[in-house]
Amino acid sequence: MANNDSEKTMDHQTAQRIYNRESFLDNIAQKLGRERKTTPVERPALKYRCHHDVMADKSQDELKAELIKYTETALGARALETTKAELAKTLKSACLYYCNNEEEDAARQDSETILSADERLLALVDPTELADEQHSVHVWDQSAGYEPNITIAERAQVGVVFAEQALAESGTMVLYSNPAQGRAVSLLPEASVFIVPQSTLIPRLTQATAALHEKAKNGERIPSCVNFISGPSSTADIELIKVVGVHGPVYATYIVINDM
Amino acid sequence: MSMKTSNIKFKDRIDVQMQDDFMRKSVANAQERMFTNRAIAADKLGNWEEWREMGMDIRNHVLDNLDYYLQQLSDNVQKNGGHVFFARTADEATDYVENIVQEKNAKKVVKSKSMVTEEIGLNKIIERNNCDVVETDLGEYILQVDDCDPPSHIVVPALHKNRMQIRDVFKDKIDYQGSDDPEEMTRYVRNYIRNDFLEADIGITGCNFAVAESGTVALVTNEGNARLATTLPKTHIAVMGMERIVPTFEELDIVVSLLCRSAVGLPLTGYVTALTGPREDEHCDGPEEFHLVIIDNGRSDILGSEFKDILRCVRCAACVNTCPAYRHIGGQSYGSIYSGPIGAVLSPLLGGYDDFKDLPYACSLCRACHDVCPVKIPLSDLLLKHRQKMAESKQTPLLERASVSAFNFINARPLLWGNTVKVGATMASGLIRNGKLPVNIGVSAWTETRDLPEPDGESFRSWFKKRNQG
Repeated sequence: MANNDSEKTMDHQTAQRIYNRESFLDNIAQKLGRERKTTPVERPALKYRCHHDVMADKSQDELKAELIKYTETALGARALETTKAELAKTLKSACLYYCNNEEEDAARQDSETILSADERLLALVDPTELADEQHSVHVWDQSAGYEPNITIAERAQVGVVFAEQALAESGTMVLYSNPAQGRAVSLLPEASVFIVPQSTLIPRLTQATAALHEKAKNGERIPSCVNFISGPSSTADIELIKVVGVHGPVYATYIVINDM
Repeated sequence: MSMKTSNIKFKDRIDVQMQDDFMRKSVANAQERMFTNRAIAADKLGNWEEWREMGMDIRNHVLDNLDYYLQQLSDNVQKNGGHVFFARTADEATDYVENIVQEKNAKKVVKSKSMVTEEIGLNKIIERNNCDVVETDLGEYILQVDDCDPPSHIVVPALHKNRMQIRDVFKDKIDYQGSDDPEEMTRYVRNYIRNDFLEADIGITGCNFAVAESGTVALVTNEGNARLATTLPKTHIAVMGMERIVPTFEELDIVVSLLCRSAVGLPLTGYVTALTGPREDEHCDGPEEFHLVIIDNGRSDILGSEFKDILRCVRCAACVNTCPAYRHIGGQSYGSIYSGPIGAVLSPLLGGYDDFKDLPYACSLCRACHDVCPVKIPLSDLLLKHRQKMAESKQTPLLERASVSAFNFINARPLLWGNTVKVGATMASGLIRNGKLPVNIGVSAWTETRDLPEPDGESFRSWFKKRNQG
């Protein structure tokens, strides 16, 4: 394993993986009627600041109110508020909400939830608190590899993830992929539950992309998959009629932790 | 499918499409709704003109420095462990993808919606390797199972079909037994192609914007199919037109905000997914291998021409949704995968005047498209440029050229001009009856769709002269 890793690292550093570049770019420079530009180009500052002005004067509480309003009215998703102490209870009921039989009064079916292993989430919730005899809870296990994790995620009714940020303007949860929180957790189960601390609420995409720009500027690798998720999946491809639930999750709940 | 979608003459295509009452009604309704949603979203955001100006500036800056940003982008993709292939032609691009398909011995490819892969005709190249290609965007899927019916809109490709037609296609092709309820049909497709995602060897996507500073490919989607196609298969191939790039995440903010509002009237679509290289070593889902294919296919010629502005396009279809010509003739009349004003400018540039010489005339020069374009492309000016170029290169009909050169000759000679218009005014008043020319003087194609005013037998100049004297 160690050998494989070092080989792969070597490969990343030494292998040439760009093809046909020089002639392609020379041609572009020629069409632009000038020499090739190979040294960094100065990026002009954006002329206006209107993107920074959106919801700029709002407090965290007001941002939360905007987020919840947009989520419930425009996205067809649920938004709940809770506290650190109450999180396990709120989360369990949010999961079971999607596990119950659709016919009222019918007996509950056996159901499964897959939980991200993100340490920020596991510090707040003990997975066993979410489980009962009819509801099994699995935690994403990076050491098990692709197959077992994907099988569980595809089978589970609910996937629970921890969001980096939430955007008030568009009801958006920002997810960074990390080894403990695979992409599939918020993708394969029919319902997604997002946990987000109130302190990480920001007005809009502007602040989220600024954080990514900082990382890139400092030479950090951006996580391989950064997702901006606004509600469940949807389409309007048939007669422009909105249908919620296509290939991605059909349902979504956001849980905001007020005292975090 | 390649860019050209029909071998029938433009006029005959229009005749067929104009008979399709459902299509015409549905296009009109769709235009109205999308136009209104866009307007409301722009209004709600506020300062829309400032946003548009920033969008235009960003896109212009990228085009002026495209060689540098493509170099930076490709360096960063390589640094992250991905491969970058620069393709001058469609064939170079499809060859490269075909090699990957063969090397992986791939049996199944899942694709999310990508106009540029349509443009280069990628599917049929993959399929000749005994490898299935599944279009997973619902609209594209409907068209694919309907024997590859051409798209009629760049954002909503199956806009021309109603739910009954879609139900019948599904019944015929994929054993669907349900009703024509859009939700029921959508759920059926979800289940029907679910395993394709899980089994696919390769996922292919387009690229809405690449971010040069980090080597990131951003996808703007709604259905979740692009996420599945870039999470489950071992190999991800992203195909991009070479101009679809921004310098940093700060500019990505502006162009994505403009795109989502202009395309669907929302602050953001359901998913904006920023993918940076293959998955990291310690991750257990996401592709192990990432390839970015950057396509020229005629774009560099546009870059060096008077049509450069069209390369700012972010493919939002706001121009399509506002165009009165599109409203009447529908998307399939254009005979190109790119329809509406953007299609009428772009198709002749990428595909040549031989196939697309009629499209620049599918425009009344009303300029509504200028006003809605989020990156301020002067679309109708570019359509006029096409007409001018075709006239200059003698691509327009002989009679039209003859009359234009006769006009130029007379117009350059004041005395001749004065006499000609006098004669013309007298003649015209004798000839025009009830807005029509009863005598065919070789312009019937023009007059049968237009009414001519009945003149009073006097030229404007002589009337004006008399008026001043009086």
